[in-house]
Amino acid sequence: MAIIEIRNLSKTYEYYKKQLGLWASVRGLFRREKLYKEAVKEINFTIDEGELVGFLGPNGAGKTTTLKMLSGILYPTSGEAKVLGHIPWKREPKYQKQFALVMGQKNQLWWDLPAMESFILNKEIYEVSDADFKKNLDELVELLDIKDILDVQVRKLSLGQRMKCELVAALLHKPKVLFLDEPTIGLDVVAQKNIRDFIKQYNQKNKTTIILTSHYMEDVKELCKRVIIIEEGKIGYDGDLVSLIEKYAPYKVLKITFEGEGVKEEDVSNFGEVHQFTPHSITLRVPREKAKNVARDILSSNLPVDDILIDEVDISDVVRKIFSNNQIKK
Amino acid sequence: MKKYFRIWKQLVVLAFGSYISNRMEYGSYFLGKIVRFSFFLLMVLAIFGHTQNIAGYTKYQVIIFFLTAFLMDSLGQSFFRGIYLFRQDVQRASLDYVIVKPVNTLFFILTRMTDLLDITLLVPLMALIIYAFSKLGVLGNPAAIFQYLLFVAIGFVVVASLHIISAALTVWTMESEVFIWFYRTSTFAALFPPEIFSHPIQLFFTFIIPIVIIVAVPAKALLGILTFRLALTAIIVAIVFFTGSLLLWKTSLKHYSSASS
Repeated sequence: MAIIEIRNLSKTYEYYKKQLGLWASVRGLFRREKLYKEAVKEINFTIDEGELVGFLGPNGAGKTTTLKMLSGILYPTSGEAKVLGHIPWKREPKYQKQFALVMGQKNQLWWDLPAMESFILNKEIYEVSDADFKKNLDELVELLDIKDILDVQVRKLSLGQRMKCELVAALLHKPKVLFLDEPTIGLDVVAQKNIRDFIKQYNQKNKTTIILTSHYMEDVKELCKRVIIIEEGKIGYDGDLVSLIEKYAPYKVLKITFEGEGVKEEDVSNFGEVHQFTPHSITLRVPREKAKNVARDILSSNLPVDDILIDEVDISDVVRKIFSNNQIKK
Repeated sequence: MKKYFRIWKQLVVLAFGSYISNRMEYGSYFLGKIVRFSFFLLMVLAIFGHTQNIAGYTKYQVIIFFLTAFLMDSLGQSFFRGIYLFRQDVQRASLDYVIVKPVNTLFFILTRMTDLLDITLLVPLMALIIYAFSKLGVLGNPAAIFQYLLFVAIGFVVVASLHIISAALTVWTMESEVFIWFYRTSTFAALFPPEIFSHPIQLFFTFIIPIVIIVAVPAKALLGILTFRLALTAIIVAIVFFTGSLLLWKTSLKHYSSASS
C-alpha cells in the first residue's frame, strides 16, 4: 500500500540578486532583480508501507526541498503529494502526529539543558501518554545505549550522542513515516555505524516507512534496497540499488595479488581493463557476464597468482560517476 | 487548552533551566533592567522637582503613565520573549522543527522563552502601581481599577499583535526583528502623557505604533478621563491589529522558504 504518493511535484524558490559593492547595495534598496531557482521539477514517485528508500543526489539537487515539502514545511509551486492520505502542507495535527523529521545539520534539542527535558516537551506536544512515553523511551534508550547521557547538557554531548538523542526526540511518538536528512553527517565511522544499525533495527521492528538522504554510500548500501536519484531537481533513477549498479556499472572488479617477482602490465592487460596496477597487485574491470571466465583464465594461466577476488564495483564510484558525467538517462 | 497549558508549563521549566545555565548573562541583563527603570523613575521625579505638572498632569498621574508603560513592556517581555530569538530560528531554519510539530507555530514561537526575570520584575512594579493608586485615591474605587485592568488587557492584545507582526515580517524578509525594536523604542514616548506631543504625532502613536492605546488609554481610564471616543478607538484598533497580525502571520508562513540545509 502506497504511504507516500507524489505527482508532478515542483518547487521554485524566488530570491533577489545581491549586488556587490557599496553603490550597488544602495541601489539595491530601491530596485532589486528577482531571480528564480527551480529546485524540484515535476517529480513523481510512490513509496510503500515499511519501505526504506535512499534519496540520493549531489548538493543542491533538491533532496532536502522534497523532504521539506513532504514534511509540510514548504508549499510546493505545483503538483500534488499525499503522505498517509494527508496533504503535507495543510499542516494538519493529525498528520503531524504520524511522521517525524530528523535533520543531521540542525537540532531540536534545547542546547543548555539535558535531552530529557526536550523529550518531555515533545511528550506534551505529541500528547503521548505517560505509559507510552515510558515504554517508547525505554526502548529507544536501550537500542541506542544512551542511558548515561540523558541527564547531561546537550551542549556537552558529542555529535554522535547528540544525534542519538535527536532520534529519540523524533521517535518518541512512534511515527509511521520518518524523514531522515543526512542523519550521519559529520559523525565518525563508529558513530555512523551505530546510527545505521539503529535505523535498520528500528525499520525492521516497527515497519516504519523511511526516506533517507545521505552523502555516505555506506548508509545507502547497508540500509536501502531501493534508491531514488535526483539531480538538478529531476528524478534520474528510481529502482533497486542492485539494478542501478548493473545499469550504470556493467562490470565487476577483479582484485588479484601475485607472488614472487610479480607481473608486468602487458601480461594482464588482455584479461580486461586495468584499473590499478603494481607488479604485485592489480585491479581489473571486466564485463559482468565474463567475470567468472576471466578469473578462471587468470588462475589457469602461468601468472604467479597468490589470491583473486571478484567484487562488485563500489556504489559510491557508480553514483559519483553518474553525477560527474550526467549519465542519468532523462 | 489543557494541552497548551501543559506545553507552556514545560516551556517555562525549560526557560528556567536555560536561565540557571547562563546565570551570569541573565543576571547582568536583569540588573540592567532595574537600573534602566530606576533611572527613568528618577528622571520623572527630577522633572517634577522643577514643575508642578506636565501637560496638565500631576506627579502621580504622570507616574501612572510611566508605570503602565513599564508594566506593558514587562508583560510583553515576560510572555513573548521568544520573539527576540526568532530571527535566529528563521535564519538557521530551526523554525522547520516547530512547523512540523502538532502545535500552533505562533503559540510556540511567542512563548518558547517565557522571561521569568521579567515576571519577577512585575511584582515590585505592581507594588509601585498600587502605591501610586493609593496616592491618587483610587484604591477605594473598584470601577476605576476594573476599567484600568480591562484596558490593560486590551493593550496587551495590541502588544501581542505587534509581536505577531514582527514574527510575520521576520519570516517574510528572513532578516531581522527590527519592527519589534521600533515598537520597544517607541514605548519610551509612552512614559509621559501623549498630550506632550503635537496632534499628528499623537495620531501616529494611536494608529500606526499604537502605544497610546497600550499605555495612555488604561492610564486615562484609571484617572477617570478616558473619553468614550478614545475607548471605542482602543477597542477597534485592538481588533484591527489582532486580526490583521494573524492574517499577516498566516500569509507569511505560507511563503516561508526555509534556509538551505
